[in-house]
Formats: sequence, structure tokens, C-alpha cells
Amino acid sequence: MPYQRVDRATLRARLQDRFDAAPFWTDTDANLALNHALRLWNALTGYWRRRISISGPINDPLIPIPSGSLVQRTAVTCQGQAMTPTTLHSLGLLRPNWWTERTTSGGSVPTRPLLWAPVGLTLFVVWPAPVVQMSFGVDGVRTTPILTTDGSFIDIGDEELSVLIGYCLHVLAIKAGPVVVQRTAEYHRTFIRAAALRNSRLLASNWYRNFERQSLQKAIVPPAIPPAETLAS
Amino acid sequence: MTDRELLDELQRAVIETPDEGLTWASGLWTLAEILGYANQRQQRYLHETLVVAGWAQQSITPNDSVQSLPGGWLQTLHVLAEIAGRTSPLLPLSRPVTDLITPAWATSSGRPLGYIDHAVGTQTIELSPPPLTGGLLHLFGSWLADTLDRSGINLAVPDELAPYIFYGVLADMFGKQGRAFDQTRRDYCESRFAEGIAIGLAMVEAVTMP
Repeated sequence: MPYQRVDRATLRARLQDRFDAAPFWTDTDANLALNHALRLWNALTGYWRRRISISGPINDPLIPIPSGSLVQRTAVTCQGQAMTPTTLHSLGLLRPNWWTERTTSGGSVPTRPLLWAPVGLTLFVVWPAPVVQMSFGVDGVRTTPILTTDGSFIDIGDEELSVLIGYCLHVLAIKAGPVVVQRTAEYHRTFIRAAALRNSRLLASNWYRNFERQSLQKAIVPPAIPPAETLAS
Repeated sequence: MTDRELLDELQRAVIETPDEGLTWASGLWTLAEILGYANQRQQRYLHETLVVAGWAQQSITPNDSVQSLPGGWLQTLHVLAEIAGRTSPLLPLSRPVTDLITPAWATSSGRPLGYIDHAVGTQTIELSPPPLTGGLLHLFGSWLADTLDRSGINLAVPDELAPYIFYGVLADMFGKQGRAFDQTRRDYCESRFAEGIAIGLAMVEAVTMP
């Protein structure tokens, strides 16, 4: 995908291009809306990713993810070997005694951690727990790069930039009142659709299907706002 | 995102003078009221999505089916019972199902096979059958988050999901009966909060039932 570096000042200018009058927002409002849009884009698509290395605890199946490093973990390796994802419930069904089993337990217990299961977004457990310090590589979605100065930039393609800018306008619209919120609602729908194209889990979810169905219903049934109302009213 | 940053953004959204939530000149809302909305929405979000989950350990009281949960316990994700050096997962059950499986379960002690969450009151868990001996309960779940009080503490939810707390609070603000009431924006913000719960659940890939 064609990336380009876009700084915060340029993003604000592009946002202003979407509004044919003096804006009803300040530069600070726009900056906050941009960061809001970037955070949601990252949450919905996992756009910014990284790999971190964690020195696992000894004799403890619980491994916390360092605060501020990852938002969501997607894959885990142990000493460079991929581990299989599972769930706490499946782990309990597979190995009822998994919590106390270690790499030195013997029998059918493997000698290195093979399975990992998430516990919320900030923890995961491994089975079996190692008795020596081992290095775990965790791939995942990193914390969103927030634009703090006008020189701060993001790498993003134009096709997604337009979606982000449109959504920013919709975020700001809450300040302008219900009329503008409804008139910019299509930007929100476009934002969600663009995110779903990048996230197959979102695309297949019941929530997204209901969202599209409601969007279609709103398109068929017009909102109960008199057409003569303008932004000035 | 800190509680002050959230309050500042809320002020901007409702055209109040932004001062990190200190004053609400319109008189439509008060700081205490907004903080109440923020705390309630955050706790509700954590309860429904389990985005921030952890582990706790409780001693098992023998011969008593009702065991206490840690203070501030919000939602149970998974339970293990460690008795005599061996752990076993406990199935989440309901009282009717437990009674159907073993009508005399409450009077026959043994190794617990399942748990009933909050069956006999808040902050309690009931084990079926009652444990014959002591041991440890390994609890996976979520706690109440630290109270937001404009002291600059971080929201418990990740920053990427904090915008949905913002919309949840706005839904409460616009839903206040009186001069502040705005049905369109209230309904919109409520739908955004529901969207946030769906997104949070998708991120966590939570399994609430086996």
C-alpha cells in the first residue's frame, strides 16, 4: 500500500478542506479528534504493530505484558519457537492440572512451553510453566502513535487518510449539535467499513452485520429533520 | 488517557470552557456528576468486555459451599480449584442446573466440580459440591477500576478504547432529563458505547462459556 508521511498540520488542513466555512472547532479540538481517530483506527485494524521480548518468570504460568508496550497480543513464541494459542477453558479441559505442571514435570508434559492463552489484554498464561528463565517473543498491536506537535507525523496511504479525516469531522460534529452529527454519520459508517476490510474478524462479527443492516435502514428511512434547517440554525 | 484529559474532551464536546473538568459554567452538569458517569461507564465497560483481567488467589474454606471473592471483584472469567496439590477447572453453573445434576449437592462434600457466581450474595462464589478439604481457589477475572476523581490517574481501559468511555459519558450527559436533554445525541452516543463493547470483546477474544 502506498504510504506517505503526513504531519499534524497537514491533517488539520485536510480537515478544514471538508468544511466550507469558518470551522466550529479550534486547533486543539482538531488535534484531539485526530488522536481519537488514530486510536480507534488502531483498535479496529491493528494498524501499528510491533514485536516485544519478555523474560518470562520462573515457576509461574502467568506472564504480564509490560504496560504501554502492546494493546493486543496476536502471537507468542518461546525461545523462537511458535506457541499455539488456546483459551483458559480449553486449557482446563485439555490439562485439568495445567496450573501446577512445569517443564520438568515429566510424563506427557512437554519440556518447553507449547500453549498460551490470553487473560484480558494485559496478561497471558503459558503451559507448561518454565522452571528456568525463558524468552518469550510477543507480536501484537502497539500503542497508537499520538500526534503531539504539528511536526509529528504518521505513515499512511491516501486511501485511508480520507477515511480518517472524514471520521475526524464526524467526531467534531458532536460539538455542533444533532443535525451535524446526523449529516456526518456516513463518515462514521465509511470508517467502520474501511476498518472491516482490514479486519476479517470484525467483518465476520454479528455486530458488524447488525451495523450494516441498521445503516441500510437509515438510508431507506430519512431522518426526521426538516430539510430547511441549516448549520447556522 | 487520564481522567483530566477525558474531562477536558468532554468539556470541548459540550462547548464548556476547557479546564480539565474543573468548572462547568453552563450549570447543566456538575463535576461530581460527570465523574460519576465516567466511573459508572468505565466499570460497566470492564464488566462487559474483561479487557483488563487478572488473577487472584483465595483460600478455600472446607465444608462451606459459599466462598468469598476478593474485594472489588467485578466479573469471573475462569476458576481453578487447587486441592491436595492438584488443580482442576470448575465449570460455571447455575443453581437450577446444579440442582438437576445432583439434588443433594449442598449436603454432600467432595472435590468441587463447578461454581455458581454470586448465588447467595455479592462478592461470593458457591462451589458445587462443597469442598471436603481446604485448598486454593485460582480466580481469573476483573476488578473494579480505581475511582476517577480528577487527580490525573489513568483510565483502566487502554487508550485505544478510551473514546468509547467518552461516548458513554456523553450518552449519560445528553440523557439527563431537563435542559441538557438531547435525544439524538444521546442515542448516537449510546450506540457508540455499544460499538465499543463489541470492539472490546473482539479484541479480547474472551471466552465466557466453555
